[in-house]
Amino acid sequence: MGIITISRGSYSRGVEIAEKVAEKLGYECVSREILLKASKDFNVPETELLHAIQDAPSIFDHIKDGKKKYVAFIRQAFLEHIQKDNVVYHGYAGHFFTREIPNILKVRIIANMDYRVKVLMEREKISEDEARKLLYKIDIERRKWSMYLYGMDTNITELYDLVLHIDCINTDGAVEIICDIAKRPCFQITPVSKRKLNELLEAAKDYSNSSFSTS
Amino acid sequence: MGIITISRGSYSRGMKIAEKLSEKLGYECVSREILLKASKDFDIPELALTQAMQNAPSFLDHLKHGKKKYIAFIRKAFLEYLQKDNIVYHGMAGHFFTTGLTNVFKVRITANLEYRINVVMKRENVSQEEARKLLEDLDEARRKWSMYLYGIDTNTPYLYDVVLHVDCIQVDGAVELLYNISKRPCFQTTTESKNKLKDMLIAANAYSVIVNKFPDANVKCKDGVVLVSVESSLSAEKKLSKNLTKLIKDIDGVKEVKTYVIPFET
Repeated sequence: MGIITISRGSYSRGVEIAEKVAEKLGYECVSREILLKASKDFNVPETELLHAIQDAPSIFDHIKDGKKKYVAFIRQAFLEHIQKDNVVYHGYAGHFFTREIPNILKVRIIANMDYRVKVLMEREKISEDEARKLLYKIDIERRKWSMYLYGMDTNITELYDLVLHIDCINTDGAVEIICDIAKRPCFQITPVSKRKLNELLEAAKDYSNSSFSTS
Repeated sequence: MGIITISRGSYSRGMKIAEKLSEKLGYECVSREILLKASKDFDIPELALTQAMQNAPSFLDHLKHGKKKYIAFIRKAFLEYLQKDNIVYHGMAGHFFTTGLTNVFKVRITANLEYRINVVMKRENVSQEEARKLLEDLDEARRKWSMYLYGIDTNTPYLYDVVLHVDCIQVDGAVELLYNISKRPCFQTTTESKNKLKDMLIAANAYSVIVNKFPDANVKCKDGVVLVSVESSLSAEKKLSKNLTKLIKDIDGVKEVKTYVIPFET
């Protein structure tokens, strides 16, 4: 009985790790499902939600708070979904959405730039130079996004219970380590953490309703 | 058969974790021993070495390279000690000293500020405000120290294989988890990693010999062949090369000395 959020540097094999962890633990593996739910619940196109949670804030975001509104919708959909328990979430911002909830295992997967460049080159069939530039751009966008919305960089270790560097450990090693830690008593959902999750969901609903009614 | 370095935010229970982990693995637990060894080997008071490792760089450090010199001595003592294998090191800079040694298991232990404040209040019998100030000062000194010497913040996760937050998992949970990870094949000492460690020791030894005259020298070693790069005028190349070779050639393990002069910018 547990909830795991996996934050992943892009092209760090985080998706593969999340899927294997979920399979091994018998949990549901969730990512895009949250966006689809938010899109349906609030009648907002999925691509707009994706831009809101993926891209660095534009000048309009600072003026109109559009990004904040969409992220609030996604947050509500996320909190609603994880009420089910036994979930591995590997989408954006899971560690931010669950910061105040105890007993949720927050993991970050990282890899060295050279490792990520190699993965990207293989996957997208592009040159090393192109891969390096693309990763640099993605990392900057993520940093700007999290600084804008939460005032801190996604890379800050204090946000996570565990940060795993997979260059040496590899994906299968990472899966075993995460499963090992996930079974520990402190990462089992308790009545206290369930109550906190409910409270946050109610607060998220109030916020979304007020944002929705003014949109 | 392995080596583990544990970097710890001050008052994050990292020492306790290191001690328990080494006991469980049957490894030697090392920290101050490295400073004592460096102090003895280079005849420098331990206090001076401790300050070089602990304090943020002063204005004089930037001019006189005093900190660089002392850290070169500590690094040499550290790499010499590691040759024994089966070690858990929980002093400062272990992750920097072992950069490039992929079989060394590099761990960072962190805790939330509130958790650390509680530990400081209990251990030092100070108020919450005093504890907070103390931790902020310590963290800033560490950050400046690592930025000055290595150009990177100690808190950067990319320096470690695993970063473990102890608030929830607690000391015993951390020990169990690290014990399991340390048994993985990728963190076992191999013949190749032993040879690499030997080369790193030779390079560290060579640098410690020339650091007084050439604090900005870059020293590398591969299979006993030492390569020293220094910035100088090209006209002094021959003399410089002779001097460096004379200083380094008799160091244990050195087979050959090669020098490379980078011309001063004009």
